[in-house]
Amino acid sequence: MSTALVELCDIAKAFAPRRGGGAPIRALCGVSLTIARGETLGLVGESGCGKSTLGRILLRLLVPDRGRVRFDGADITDWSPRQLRPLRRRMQVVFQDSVGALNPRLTVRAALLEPLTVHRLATGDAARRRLDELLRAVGLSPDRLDRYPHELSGGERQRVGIARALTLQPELIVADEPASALDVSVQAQVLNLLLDLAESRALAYLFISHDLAVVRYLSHRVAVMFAGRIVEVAPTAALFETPAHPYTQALLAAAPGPRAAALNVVVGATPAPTPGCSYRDRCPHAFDRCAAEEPALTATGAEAAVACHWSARPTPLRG
Amino acid sequence: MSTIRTVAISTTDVFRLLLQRRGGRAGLPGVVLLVLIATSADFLASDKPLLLSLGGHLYVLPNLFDPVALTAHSNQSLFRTMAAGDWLVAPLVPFGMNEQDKDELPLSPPSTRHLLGTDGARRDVLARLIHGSRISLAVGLLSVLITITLGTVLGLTAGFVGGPIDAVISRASETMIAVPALFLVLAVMGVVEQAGVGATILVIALVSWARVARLVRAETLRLREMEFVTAAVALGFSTRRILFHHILPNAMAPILVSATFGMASAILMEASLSFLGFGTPDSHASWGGLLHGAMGSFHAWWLVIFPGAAIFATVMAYNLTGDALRDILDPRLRHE
Repeated sequence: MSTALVELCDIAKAFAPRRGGGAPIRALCGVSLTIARGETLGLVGESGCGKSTLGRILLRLLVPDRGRVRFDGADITDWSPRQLRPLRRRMQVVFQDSVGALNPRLTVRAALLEPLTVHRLATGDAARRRLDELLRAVGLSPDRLDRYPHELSGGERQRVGIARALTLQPELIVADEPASALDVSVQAQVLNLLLDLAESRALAYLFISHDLAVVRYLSHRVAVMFAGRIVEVAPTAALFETPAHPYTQALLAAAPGPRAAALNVVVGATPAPTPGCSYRDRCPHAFDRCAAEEPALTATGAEAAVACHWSARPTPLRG
Repeated sequence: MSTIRTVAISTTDVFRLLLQRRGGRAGLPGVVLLVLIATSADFLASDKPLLLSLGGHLYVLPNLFDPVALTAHSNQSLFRTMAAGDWLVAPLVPFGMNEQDKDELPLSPPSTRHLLGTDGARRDVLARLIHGSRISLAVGLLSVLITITLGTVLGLTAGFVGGPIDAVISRASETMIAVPALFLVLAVMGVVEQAGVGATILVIALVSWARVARLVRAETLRLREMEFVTAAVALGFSTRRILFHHILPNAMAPILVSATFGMASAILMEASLSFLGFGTPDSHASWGGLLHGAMGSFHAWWLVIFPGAAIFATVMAYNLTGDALRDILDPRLRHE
């Protein structure tokens, strides 16, 4: 593999608090990750840990306070909206809320034609063929073309959202919890659709989710986020079999069944990032070094890295 | 789940739903009636006949075309001077709005000749009332058009661009809202040398844009955060396309409601101005102007009651329609 398709380097982002005063909310502090062509990177973490912010910075819908965003080798961190416009064709987004993601005043046809027209990709017959092809790709029946979003089911709406992302034939899609709002049966259909599309179109995904099973099913690699930092990255199989970070371990322990004891490990507010390891208050293994020094994301294998003083020790201490 | 606030609704649906509501059923026909009266004023009241055969020559609609040959004639003079074989079809009210009836006293009460009496210049009140609806409608429509355009552009800009531009527009609109509109209008009209209908329209628009701007700004702020707008940015659409294709159409419902209420308040404001003698000049019939004519001659009740009732009914019709429209277009109020 040559250069990565996407490279995020030491990204930080803080938001001003809602109503005057107070410290800014630090959503991301020093996040680095790469996505290769055709690769699906799963991004897991609890609500409010900065997953969606990261996705939006990657798409350059937000400007990071610090760090660089590279797409296909080009540093796009400081590009203006106008400069970014041609690049938009190559990276797209699918949202969780299919109601909010579609303009309620546009029919499916209008919503899918608009990107083609704006980017002058197809008109007339060519555009019609393109719509047919898109509908087939996402498994929507052609009689839905003249419906409005509120006349569609949740699953159908999500398919329209995916079809719209595909109109420009992107190389990367940021999928922000694309199935979380759907019924379980529909969820599976949409996930399989995303998987099929990844294979047939050589798409790369940043797949954002809090659902471990879903991430495991779709991803080549998984990054685990906690409080604005990536605490562990590893190939999917390795991460699920031998989780290195205590937070990953806690997540996995909580995932399989509704066992209250196990769940307790993860319960707790997402702390504001502080010096030292932000997970130490919840960590069963925390020791003095964790309070003093922030653990850096350190490579532990070819594609794996973890940010933890405890797991980086040669013989982990139980405590 | 997010609340579904914006729902596409077709124009036919809006009219159907309007007529299902008591307010809409009363208001909408009133609005339509006013428009009909205003557009056909020349047919309802004119000093020239609708059809005239004079000396073997047939004049079609001289009330509209005002042929040179008939300059010296009016319905009244024709009634007196017509020879045998001549005939005419007179409009419902056979008086022009500026025609002074020499055979009648000034300020004469309603009679069979002048159904709503005459004003201080021997002019037919009903004819002036009918033609006055044009001023009301024109002032209302045009000032609302300018108000909406101005308010929408400023509100969209403030809401979408944000930052110092938003601060400037927001403070300006708050200042405008804080000052009572009528005083502002009077102040401006006092400065303007030649106050005509055009000046009235501009001044009303100038003091009304702020409410629309605030409304559109709030809608823009709400819509800007919606994911379909984010998706539009991600799809590489231009800012102009996002504003006018994605945000504005979804903000149209409240704008429409505010335009309907704006009509009522513009009509009322124009009437107030003309009543105070600052608005429409006397050569144009206007409802406020008729009321103005009643000042100093209070026994002429017909100069107070009829224009007053016309203003009341019109404002009422627009407000009822606006209320019904808001109920239909705002789902938060729909299930009350």
